[in-house]
Amino acid sequence: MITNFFVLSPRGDTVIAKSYRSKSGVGAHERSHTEAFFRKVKFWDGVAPGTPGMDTTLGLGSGGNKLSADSLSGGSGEGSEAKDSKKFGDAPPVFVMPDGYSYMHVKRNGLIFGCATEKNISPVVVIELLSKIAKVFKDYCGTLSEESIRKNFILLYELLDELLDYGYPQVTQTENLKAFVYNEPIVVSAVADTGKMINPKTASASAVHKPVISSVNADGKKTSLAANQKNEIFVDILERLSVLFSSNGYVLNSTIDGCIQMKSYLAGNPQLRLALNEDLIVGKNSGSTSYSSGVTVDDINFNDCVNLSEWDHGRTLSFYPPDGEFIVLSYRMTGEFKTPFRIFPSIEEVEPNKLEIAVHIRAEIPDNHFGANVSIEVPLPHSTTTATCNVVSTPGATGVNAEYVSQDKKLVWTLKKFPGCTEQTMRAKITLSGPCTSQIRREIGPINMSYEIPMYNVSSLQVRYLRIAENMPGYTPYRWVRYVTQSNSYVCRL
Amino acid sequence: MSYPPNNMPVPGGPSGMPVPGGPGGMPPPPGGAPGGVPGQPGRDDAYFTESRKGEVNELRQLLRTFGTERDKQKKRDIMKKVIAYMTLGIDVSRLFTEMMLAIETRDLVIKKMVYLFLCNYADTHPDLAQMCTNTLVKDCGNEDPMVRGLALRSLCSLRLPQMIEYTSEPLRRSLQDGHAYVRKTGVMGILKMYHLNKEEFDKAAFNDILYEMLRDPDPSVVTNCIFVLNEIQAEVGGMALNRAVMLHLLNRIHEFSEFGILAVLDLIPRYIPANDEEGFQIMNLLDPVLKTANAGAVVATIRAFLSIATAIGKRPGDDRDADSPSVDDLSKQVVERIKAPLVTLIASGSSELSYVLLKYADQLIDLCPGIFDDEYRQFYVKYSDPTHIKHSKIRILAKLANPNTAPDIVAELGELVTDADETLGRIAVRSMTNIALNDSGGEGAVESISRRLVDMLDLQGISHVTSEAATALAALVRRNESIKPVISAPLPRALKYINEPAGKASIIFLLGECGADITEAPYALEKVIDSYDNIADASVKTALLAATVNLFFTRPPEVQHMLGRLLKKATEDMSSQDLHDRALFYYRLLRSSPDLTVAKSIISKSMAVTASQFAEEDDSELRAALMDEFNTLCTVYRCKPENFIDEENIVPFVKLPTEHPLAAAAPVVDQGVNTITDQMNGAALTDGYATAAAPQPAPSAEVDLLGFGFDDPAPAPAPPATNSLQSLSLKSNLSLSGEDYQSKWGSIPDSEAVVISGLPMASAPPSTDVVEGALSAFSVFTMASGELPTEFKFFLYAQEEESFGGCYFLIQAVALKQPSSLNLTIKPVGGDPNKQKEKVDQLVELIKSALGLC
Repeated sequence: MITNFFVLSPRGDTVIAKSYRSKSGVGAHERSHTEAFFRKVKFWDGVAPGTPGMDTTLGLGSGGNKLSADSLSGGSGEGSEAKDSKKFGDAPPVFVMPDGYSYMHVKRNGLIFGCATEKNISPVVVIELLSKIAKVFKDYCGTLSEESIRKNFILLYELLDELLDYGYPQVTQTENLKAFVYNEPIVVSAVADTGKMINPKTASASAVHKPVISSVNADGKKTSLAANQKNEIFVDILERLSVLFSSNGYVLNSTIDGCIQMKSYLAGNPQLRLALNEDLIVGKNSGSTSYSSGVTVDDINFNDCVNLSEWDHGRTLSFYPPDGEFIVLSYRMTGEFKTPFRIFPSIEEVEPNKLEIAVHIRAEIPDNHFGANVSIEVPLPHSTTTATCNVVSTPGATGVNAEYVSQDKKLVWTLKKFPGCTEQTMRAKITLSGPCTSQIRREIGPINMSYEIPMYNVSSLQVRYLRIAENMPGYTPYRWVRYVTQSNSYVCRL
Repeated sequence: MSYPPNNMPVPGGPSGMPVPGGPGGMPPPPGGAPGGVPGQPGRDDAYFTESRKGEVNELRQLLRTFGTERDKQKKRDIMKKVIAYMTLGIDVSRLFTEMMLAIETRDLVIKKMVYLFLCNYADTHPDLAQMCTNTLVKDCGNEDPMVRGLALRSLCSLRLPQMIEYTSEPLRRSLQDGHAYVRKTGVMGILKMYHLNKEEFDKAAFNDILYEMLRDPDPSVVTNCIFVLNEIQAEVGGMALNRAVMLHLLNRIHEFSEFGILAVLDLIPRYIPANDEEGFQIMNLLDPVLKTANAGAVVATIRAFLSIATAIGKRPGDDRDADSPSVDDLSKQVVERIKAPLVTLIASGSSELSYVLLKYADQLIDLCPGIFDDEYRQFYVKYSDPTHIKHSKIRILAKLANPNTAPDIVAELGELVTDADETLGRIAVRSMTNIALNDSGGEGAVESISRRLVDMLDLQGISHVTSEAATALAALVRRNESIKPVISAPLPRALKYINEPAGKASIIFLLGECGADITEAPYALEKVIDSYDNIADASVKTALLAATVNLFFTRPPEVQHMLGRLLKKATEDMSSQDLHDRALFYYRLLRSSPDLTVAKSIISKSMAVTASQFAEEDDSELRAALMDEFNTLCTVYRCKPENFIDEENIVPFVKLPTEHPLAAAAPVVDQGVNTITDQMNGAALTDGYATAAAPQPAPSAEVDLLGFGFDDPAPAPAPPATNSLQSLSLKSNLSLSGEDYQSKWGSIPDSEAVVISGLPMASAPPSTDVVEGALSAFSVFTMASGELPTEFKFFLYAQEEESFGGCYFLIQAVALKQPSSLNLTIKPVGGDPNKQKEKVDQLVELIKSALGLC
């Protein structure tokens, strides 16, 4: 199926490489191919070589484009402009290289997990496989970083040996792999987990960065899993919001992509029962005309391990949690919900070449909650020469800062903490190099806001309970349940 | 994510760390910086230190102490160092002999490392590798299944053709191993052997064993068998497949692992269900897969569903009853069913997965337009999406436009036009144009899109958008003359600031088309003509020529002079053959025609487009080919496999079983997938090696009662040529499609059928195969068969030799189990009507003798 597998560092060094089949004597650690691949990913030029008529960026070869061919022929891709590497954006995860192989890759924590194939196989399966390998590596190393991979390379080769044989997936479940693995992971201290806010009242962030098997720490001391293992389980109800506002604050599009994610360190791996809101309705058109107060999700999917026999009545799931991190279920909601923040922008033309922009944001979450790591970006026209901004903050907001980043031509306004039920305002004075036409005004925006709200969820999907299925006296697991709402794409048009 | 560089072990970079972990008493490694703590495991950064000439020798020294070293951890550290060097690309093959000495160990960690080393250098040191084969072969018989498996995998991975004689024996033994891990490794080993030496492989006749192993109790073994068979038989489309195998695998599908299930699901598109009922049963069986988050399984299920829909749906011209759904209806239902799960996966998966799945969604939208329309908001771009995802989404958005959704979609696209990403802006313009070109936006949409495009012409700061908008308008005008008044006003001013050749050519073309309504059109063109020498691009010149000639017919007095100048320049211009020839053609045409209307009728007519679709846009053939290859790289690249894959790696798409069994309208025999597969034990896997592979469960007593040896249906009793059957000679190689069967069966009214009931049988046949085999020896073939709790049913057919009249016989046979008796319903089709009765009688005799009922 796949011809080789490799892990590249953010700078393109091969960290792990294994070749399963080789044509014309390409050895397992042949670098030239991965190097060419890395250059292609780094400087994507929009054209997948080796495939006649295949321009993946503009899709000229594709039948989907209804413009007649001759009227388009000169429209794009002309060499003079293609020099700018940024023009074509990011490299897609699947493309053909001149060596005739299709390369596929996923990026995790800056590392590239990639492989090549010469066959016409399902790209979804390969992407899933690569993600799975990354997950297994993370489960066994505790964290996923270049350092942890380099330190554990013997363990990872051992895992890889069982994960894939001759390019075909074999044992891919973290817990099933345990039987085959004899090396011990070496724990590296977790790098600051980007973007995840941890409420200090709950477990420490590093608690979830433990490998699934007993390990030796950096001092060479062996940490026995049984002795050091707290009987605990981490449950995250994570919701990512995609909201699009019009300039007058009207919601044009809104979606919640949610999931319940778990990481179990429970001894003996008991069966668990997870109950959600009883009034949860699945499917937009499933007869929920009687505007019930219940939570309605458009669609929901479950991990393979989940037993759904009690789902239809009682909304209860039972499962034996697999080792390592896993997603119990994912759901998608498009119904109306209360947006946690509302954005009210205004633009005023004070002089022909001077603008005043005011962005007013209201937090509509209860006052015992707050938005964390809030960042608001306002792109400005290319002709902007200077901009100054000031913020009007209410008490409670901390870490407030607003500035004009001239190289990106945008205003960046950040707040460490944005308390619920408050309003924050930023005003900016902008000077343009020329008079402001309506076309230049179109270059302003859209405003993008990113944030996360700990211990809050928008959908009101709740975990009713999480129990050990059998009654085991004296078995007292620690349950860490966490709700997090994050912005995925929180955009306001101007 | 970044790390401080001093912590970063850079391969081949300067050494910041000493080499730790040497056994006690070893001198510190040369060049080591201070601070090393000997014997401390865990500081593994230092495995990746700079390679020096002496270091390999250093390692050799270490390895020599290996035998006397007692500390397991220290032994491991030595090995790790060797492997670390190896993975860095440093040649440590000189240590081969020393490493091989370490292979005799009980420590699996060390053993694994030695195997890794061995596999890596066997290519370059075949002689040395051969020396350690004995150890490997010995390990293949180790008491620990882990060791057996490991040794076998390494043995097969050595890639040494001369080793095949050593490998085939352990391989064969492994297939019977008591431990699934060894069996599964052995199955993969067969594939490695196949690629190493195909002749030896054929001699070893592993194929039959593999087919037999499809029934292995361990699903991981079965999975590997499918993988291997598919690859070995790639030339004929993959593993041979029949109903029994397919249903057997389907019934076990819940046992398979997340990737194993894919092996089974990928077989389904190649399988033609025996009848409608079975098709629906398979779909019901697989439906729960759509609820899982296993994206690979979900898309494989989608493909399986679509394939079943194609197999069991009614085609045009099919004479099935009107209620049965058509292929299109079924496909629509399938797409409707998978819409929500697919969209959820796109939204919840990683960006890489989303990108690929968007391509899948794109293709499904092409297959069944309209169904995804109501989910159009899910395809709005997100701020954080990578560019390739944004681009895919914008292209899809255009396909989701209908009169209800178009206003929102067009507005959304309008916002994206000015995006900082230039390509994105271009695609947004094109998507918007496509909505107008397809006229999918309902009433007024074309005009409102034209207005938006006209507005874009004035986005002076964003040159690529103005150019795209001009190109789009040019395409639109060719389809819709009515938008001319909307677009004409800004054209002359747009001409001044559009610089991109495509856009400029389009604007010039539009000026020619709309010239009648624009007062200053000739003067705008004149400026371009005057600067003719500064135009670099031939397409602009050609457009200029065409537009000027066009305008000349509407406003001759104003244009005549500039046309003359242009023709002179263009005929003298040698940079483009096409341009030069055109100019010459126009010039001669105009000069030679005394009356302008003649020239006008020749030139001007060609500008208008009346066809609803351009020929080059008709990609229905490509789309059909892509649907055959759905869920492969073709879906992502949007081109056929031969365009990007070596010929040797192309796997043809072959549907099986090749004889299409009974189709829908005939009575359905099955009780359900489960009961059918109970017969799996008795069913043959595939015709050729069938009986050898499948143990015959039929008790021999019953076989005898039926009168002949069932174990080998091929050398059947000699066709009875001596008795009364003389006049009935049946064709021995006949095949009939399910549809033909039905139409023939339907063509004879039931009243004309010959019904013979209650033929006594000594005992019920043990399985359908027994009867089928017996009859086929007499040239009576089976279309379909099935087992019900109380009876067997067969749909049989036969044809007389053409020279005897070519009469078809269609037979429905029911064998009751208790009491055992046989009922026949025979319909003769064609042939001499006077002789039919006689022939039917002969056929009954023949069947009776075949089944031993005489």
